[in-house]
Amino acid sequence: MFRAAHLTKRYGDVIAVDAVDLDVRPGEIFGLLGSNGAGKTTMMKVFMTLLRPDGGGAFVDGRDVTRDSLAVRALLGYVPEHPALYEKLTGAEFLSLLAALRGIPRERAKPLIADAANRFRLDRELELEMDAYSRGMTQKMALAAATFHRPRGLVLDEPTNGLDPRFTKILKEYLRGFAADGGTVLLSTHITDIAEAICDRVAIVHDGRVVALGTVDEVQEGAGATNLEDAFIALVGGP
Amino acid sequence: MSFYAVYAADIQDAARALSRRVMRRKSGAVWFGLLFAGTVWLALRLGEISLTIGLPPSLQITPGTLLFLAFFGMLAKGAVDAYHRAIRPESLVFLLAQPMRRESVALGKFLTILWTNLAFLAGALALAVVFVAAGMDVPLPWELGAGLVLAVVAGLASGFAMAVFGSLSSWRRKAAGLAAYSPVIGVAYVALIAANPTLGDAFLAVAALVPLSIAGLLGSSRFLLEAWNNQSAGRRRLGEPRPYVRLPDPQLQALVDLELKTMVRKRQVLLSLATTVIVGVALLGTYAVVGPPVGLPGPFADLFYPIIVAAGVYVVVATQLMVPGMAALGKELDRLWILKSHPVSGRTVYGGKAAAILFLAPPLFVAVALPLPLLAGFRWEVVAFLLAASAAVTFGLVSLGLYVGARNPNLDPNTQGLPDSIAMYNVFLAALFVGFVLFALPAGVYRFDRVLGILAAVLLAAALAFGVFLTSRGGARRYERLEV
Repeated sequence: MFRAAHLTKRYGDVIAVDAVDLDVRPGEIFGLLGSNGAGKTTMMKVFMTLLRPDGGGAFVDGRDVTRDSLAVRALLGYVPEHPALYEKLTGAEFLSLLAALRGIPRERAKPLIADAANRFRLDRELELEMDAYSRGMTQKMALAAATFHRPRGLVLDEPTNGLDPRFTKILKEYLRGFAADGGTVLLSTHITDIAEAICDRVAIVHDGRVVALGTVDEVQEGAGATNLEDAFIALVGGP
Repeated sequence: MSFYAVYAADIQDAARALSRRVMRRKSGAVWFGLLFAGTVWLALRLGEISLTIGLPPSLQITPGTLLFLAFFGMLAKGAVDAYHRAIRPESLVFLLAQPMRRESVALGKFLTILWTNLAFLAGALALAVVFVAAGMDVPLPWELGAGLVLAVVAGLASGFAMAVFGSLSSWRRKAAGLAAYSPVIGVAYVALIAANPTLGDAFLAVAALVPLSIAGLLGSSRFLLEAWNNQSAGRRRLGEPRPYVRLPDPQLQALVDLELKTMVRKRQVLLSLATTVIVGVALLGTYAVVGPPVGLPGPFADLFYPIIVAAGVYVVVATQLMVPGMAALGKELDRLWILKSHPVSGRTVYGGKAAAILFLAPPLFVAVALPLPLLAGFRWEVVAFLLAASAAVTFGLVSLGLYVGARNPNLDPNTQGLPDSIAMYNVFLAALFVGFVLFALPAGVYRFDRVLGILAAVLLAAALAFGVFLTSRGGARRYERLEV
């Protein structure tokens, strides 16, 4: 579903993503783990067509992100690391706007929006201008916005940011169900517990390169560690 | 001295941002310098001409009038600057949470606003001195220069206070705050205009206004927290979301609706309407005070009111339609990911932005372009010409704004997506030139043949409407290339 072939992205002289090869299969929850500035967000933004690759290629469901960006966006839902929303729209207006941008007719959008709001316990916040949202509510709204239209793939950058343990659990259950139904999830996190709990495979990213890739067990074994946290530290350097 | 720490950090941040922008576009800075010098020269030259040929006897421009205009202009500028720098930014929380008085926060922020505006004035005064020394015949007494400096201080402080009061949590509190402050403006009007003071007295009056305004600023700082909190207090809106407008393309409708709803709820539409009405009333007031332009040489008498109307149209179009165009892309700030991660083309995004701006245009015609010509009993041909030329200026300046906004989008939250002050100044002057050409070209034809003149203005308006379409296409290309 997500494929990177020698993907490279530079910011001036800094190489943020350095010739990365990656293949995320349909129905998989794939975690990108890395320190701050490792290149996870850049990689995800390339898949979301928000950044153009400087070398190599990135493909979503076989579509080139550079040449076929609108079709790629139609397939995906995205939550950025710091989701800023239209503060003067209510949650319902925001989701209706996104439905219209995706070409979903009003009548079809209504039950989808209600379903997403219910899933993330946002029913009461739908009528509130998003100015008034707390950090957690903003994150839940961003998750609802990424999922309400039932995308084929999800790109989630630190999706548990700002969520309390209860909603983190709800999100994990939703993602497992989403993948079980054939959806693909590409998520980034620096919380190894989350990766251990839900990811089918993980890639450890360091200085723009993938330094380890496989199931959690495979990565731990490869690093000679007994848990993912120790494996991560062994691979990217000590605390 | 905690206010100084706030000021020092703020001014350093502003200076570094300015330096980065200048280094990025050196030619823009040079162009700015030339235009700035040209504007000062033009203002002095207009003064020189007015002193030579005289103005209508009923149109008295005294030193007090000049100082009041400076005070009032800076009041508006101070309100906008204070809103963007001291009320709107989320980062203010880091200052409000420190163990220091609100007065220190307000004073520190005010000093930054003051410094940047005084730097402009100092530059203008220095250039004026050079031009006068080089032979321009315009009196430049020291009381006028010093009075202008004081008017800038008093105006900016008053604008700061009014921005705070205007941002309070309910209409009643806003009205109470603004009413409490209104005597300061009343005193300024009475002392500088109604009393018809000499230059010396006007200087003393504006000097007395400074402590009054600073006291108002410090008084308003007690409400700074409420004003800041009110900016992040969303309202509950019950019922089904309803679009403001219906358009055949659902994506375009959704985008226009997003723009309009945001502008309405941020009270930008209200402010725009108020500004438009104020300019319209000012035009009518000019006619009521000055009356028919007797005493002016023949051609000047015929052109006097059409020029006044054209000036009003320029002011409203430039500030209320061109400026939103300049911020069209930049105002998305860190929300740009929303549109960029959805399957909507740049053409639709920019088309929506352009259409939303044009929705704000009709009040211009109702409040500014029509009332004075109707009141003054202009012939229908003149009224038709002014309407068509106003439409041409509207489309021309909206195109200019969209072009600049797409070419140099500014994603700096301090300016809410508007270009930096140097770029803004350059664009306003370019707009003045473009506006002049768009009125003057068909006017030249009109003097030759009235019907052809009207036709020329209509054709120009149609061509420039196509120009809006083309610039929005250009903006779309820029939007597509933008990396988030």
